[in-house]
Amino acid sequence: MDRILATLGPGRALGVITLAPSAIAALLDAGHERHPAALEALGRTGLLPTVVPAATLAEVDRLLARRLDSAATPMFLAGLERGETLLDCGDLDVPRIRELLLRFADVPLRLPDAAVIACAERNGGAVLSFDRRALRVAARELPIRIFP
Amino acid sequence: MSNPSEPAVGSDPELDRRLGALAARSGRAPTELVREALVDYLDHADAERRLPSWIGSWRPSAPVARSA
Repeated sequence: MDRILATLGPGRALGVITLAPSAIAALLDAGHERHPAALEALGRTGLLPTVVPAATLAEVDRLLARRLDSAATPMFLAGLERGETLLDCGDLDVPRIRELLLRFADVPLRLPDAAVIACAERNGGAVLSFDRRALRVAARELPIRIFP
Repeated sequence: MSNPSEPAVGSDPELDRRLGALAARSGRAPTELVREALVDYLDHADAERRLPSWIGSWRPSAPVARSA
């Protein structure tokens, strides 16, 4: 069954938290130095389910392969298949992502960050990320909250 | 007469038509189909509130095998 957040309807997704690629790496790897902090932050927000923008999957794979190995990404994808984490296709976010990339070009804001912001803006604003430099700059002007 | 302690679920003619058609195709009672749909919905709703099992599944020594 497709577990695509966009199909859930307005108001349905306000309790969710958007995961940035750095958060996925920290959460998946029990030996990651930020794993305890990621778990604690997720528990503290009380926000579930977790949501991942489809536009960040390549970055997730890049991070996991660099830090762990090629078996890590399939483990994460299995969670998407089971519907434990929702995949946000964000196909209608392209104009917003483009706008964000232009607006914060001097930061610079990259595509995965912009996809995370666009996804979070539609889903209550909560973001879990450890790669926060660009997101923090954007968060000063946008309705998003970055955890931890 | 319905039991006042039981939740009442509204429907509409289009939903009734679709449910009736599915019941006819499958040879199953509409109430059985509704119950099955409700169980499926609640199972997924519960799953969404649980911490995903992929979290912490990669251990420093080796990945923890999980069935998909």
